[in-house]
Amino acid sequence: MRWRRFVAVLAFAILIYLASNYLTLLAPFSGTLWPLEEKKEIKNPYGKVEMFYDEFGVPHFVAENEKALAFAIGYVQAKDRLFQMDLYRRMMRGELSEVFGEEFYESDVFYRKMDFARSAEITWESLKDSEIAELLIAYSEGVNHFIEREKMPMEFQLANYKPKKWTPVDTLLIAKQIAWGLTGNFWDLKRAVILEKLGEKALELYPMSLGHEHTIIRVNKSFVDWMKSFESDSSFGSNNWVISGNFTTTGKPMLANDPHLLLTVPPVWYEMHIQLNGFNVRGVTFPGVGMIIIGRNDFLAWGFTNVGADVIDFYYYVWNGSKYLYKGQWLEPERKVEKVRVKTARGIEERELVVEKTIHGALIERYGFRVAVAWTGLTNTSEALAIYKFNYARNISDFIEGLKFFSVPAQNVVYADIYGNTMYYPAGKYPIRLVDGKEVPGNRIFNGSAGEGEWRGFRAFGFSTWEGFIPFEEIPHVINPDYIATANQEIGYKKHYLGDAMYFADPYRGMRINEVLEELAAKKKITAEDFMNLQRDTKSKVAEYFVPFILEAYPNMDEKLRAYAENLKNWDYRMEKDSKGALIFAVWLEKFVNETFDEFFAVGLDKSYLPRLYVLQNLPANSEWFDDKRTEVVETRSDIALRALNLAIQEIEKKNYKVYGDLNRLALKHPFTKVLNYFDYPSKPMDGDEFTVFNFRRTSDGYQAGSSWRMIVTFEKDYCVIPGGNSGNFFSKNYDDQLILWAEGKYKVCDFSVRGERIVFG
Amino acid sequence: MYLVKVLAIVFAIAISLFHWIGIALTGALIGFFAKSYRSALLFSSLYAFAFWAFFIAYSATLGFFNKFIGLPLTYLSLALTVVLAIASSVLRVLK
Repeated sequence: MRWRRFVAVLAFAILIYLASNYLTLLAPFSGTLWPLEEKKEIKNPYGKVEMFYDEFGVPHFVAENEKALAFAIGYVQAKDRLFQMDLYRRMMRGELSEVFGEEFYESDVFYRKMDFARSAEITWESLKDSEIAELLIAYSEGVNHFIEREKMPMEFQLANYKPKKWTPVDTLLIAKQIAWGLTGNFWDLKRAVILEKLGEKALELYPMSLGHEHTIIRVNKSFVDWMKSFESDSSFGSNNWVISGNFTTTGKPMLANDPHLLLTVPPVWYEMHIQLNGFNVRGVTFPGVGMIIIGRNDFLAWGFTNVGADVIDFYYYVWNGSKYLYKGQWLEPERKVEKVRVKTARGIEERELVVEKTIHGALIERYGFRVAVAWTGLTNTSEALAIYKFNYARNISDFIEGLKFFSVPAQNVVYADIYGNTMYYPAGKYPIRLVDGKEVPGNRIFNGSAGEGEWRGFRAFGFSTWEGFIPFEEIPHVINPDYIATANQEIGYKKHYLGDAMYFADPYRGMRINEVLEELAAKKKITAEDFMNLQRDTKSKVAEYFVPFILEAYPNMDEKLRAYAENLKNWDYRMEKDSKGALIFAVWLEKFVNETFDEFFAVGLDKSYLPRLYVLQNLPANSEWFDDKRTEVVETRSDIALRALNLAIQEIEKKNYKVYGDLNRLALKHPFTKVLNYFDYPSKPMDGDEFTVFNFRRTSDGYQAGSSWRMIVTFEKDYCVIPGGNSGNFFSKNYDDQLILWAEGKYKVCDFSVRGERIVFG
Repeated sequence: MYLVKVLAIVFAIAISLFHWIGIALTGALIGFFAKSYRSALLFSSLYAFAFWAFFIAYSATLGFFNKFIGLPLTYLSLALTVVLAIASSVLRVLK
């Protein structure tokens, strides 16, 4: 009997040992995973704030002092989005592999070598005496109050780690992350690779030919391929427009904005409303930032699209051992050794990484190729101050004062106020490059040893004075336009180089917005409903221009192809989920591009190197780019259109697609999707593509992008929606409650009424 | 004696609301007080199912029912609760 007792007790002990972590996580009631209690009163060292969650989980803060407000915002954002905040912070600091393993080591290497963390520290040092310093500290204390005293969100428990304390530098690092995501463009490097692989003839595909001013050094394609996995997606775009009160039913100006970013779970934006001493500000911010980035206050509204300007340059050097030549002197790069903690099957491994910097910026080396990277964000920047000033601006002068502080990412800012003013101002820091005293474009790799193309007044990882940049007053802008629309297209500024065609989006969305606004303005007074219809507009200008290429080949089609082509003859060019025409066109377009530019693929250049669609549209029908060099005959556009249609039909039949929505499906993934896909948002067929105003696109690497926030401000009744929900907590009813609204192009009302479930800070 | 047994089990269940040790304790007490291994296993598993069902019902009052019921981890929670309660009841071997 004794041995039976012994075995039973031993087995029980082993079971408890093995299961204790899971039991702590999952036991009914007591499991730390279950969100069964919520505090209604939180101690705030700075004073009283009341916070109300409305029916969409949007927090409405009512406060009487700014520091108390900042503390409460920090706490509430942590409560709703702490994992997302920590994820972005870890990415920018190069600390992902410590938690998520080897797979993220290369990302950590890149982000550490770029040393974004140091640039955020420099920015914090420059802001320490500003009016927002105490607010950034109070915000961080609010986040830390949550980290230290509350149950951690589910993701931390599943990944089995606890976040470190939040600091003002982390908030500024989040801002750097967004800026990098919008301007970290490696086109200069890719352009050099294209020149090397395809020769000068390829330049005709990239408007603004440089003649002989291209780089003469040999670029290592493997290096560029490694780098581009950390590049911003330059095809992201956004829409915004503003229209004067002369054209609206209310007599007040109206403003619309929908920035196109990665569609993530939870969404990139966090919506909130603050009421400070009766002054209202409402809109969206990034989790980790305690101010409204896009939105409106009692007096005015503002929205952004990315300018896309070239604010990043690359420099090569002559090397002698560990030293690089700079204007006749041999200099040692600044070096520091960092330890990267990597989670492996054997436990945490520490790996040493040398982080180097030259006088121009971060030194990146791979496959024997070395360049220094200068980016306008790698220094003290003041966009946090700009955003703060936007929040509390009372008129256009206050707002312009704020714009002067806007550094990076350069944004097409549209503005409207209750007094009837409208404005467009592409604010930001734009570098001017000089070689031998002459201004040159920045779409090349500069000879750093000769001091070519340097930005005067820029000091990477130091304090910049910006005198070598386009002065704020010189940036082209329009005050009180009747209407103006931006969709990342070229600004039309000739005095200085802002970027070549590859830095700006194809003009199709801009064309369509202007077309609709012109039509509306000519016919009637414009309403909020008209703006909604425009934001959900699915008409493709791309289709309008390219479908004739398919129909051009109609006489050479067999019966089967003709049957498919018939769907395009009377198609209204709307990329809608139930459309057969949209399906055929979408698949055809991809094949047409690939078949036309097969030369690129033949030399190992992927889709990210391809020229803009607008260039393809305007190639002559007999351009040599349409000729397939592998065949004896000389192909024209019509031949390639026909071939692409054949391939498209094969794919459509193979995959059994019936309508566009079979191909174009919303599938937004939580970061844990590879392990547990239950936290993903529900999937559904979608309208739109990357070239339609109603913007939704599937990227080749499995991510999806599109309108990350839709906002319409009329100053009477405003509307907005985010793609998902305001809460990042899976168990919350606001986890994905706006997803269907967003996917169907519907809105919720965005007002200043304070309502809902109350939490008191004090 | 009967009252003591009931009070002990009620006490153990109360602990279960705050820590999983309470589930083990309840299972063990059921084992000790049961007349046979068979009834120990039966009552401990009944207790585990009932306790878990109470948890789900409570979560429903907070509006989490749909989320809980569709989440695989919820069922892992059920499995852990049942296994823990039954394994604890087997400790009657020490009786």
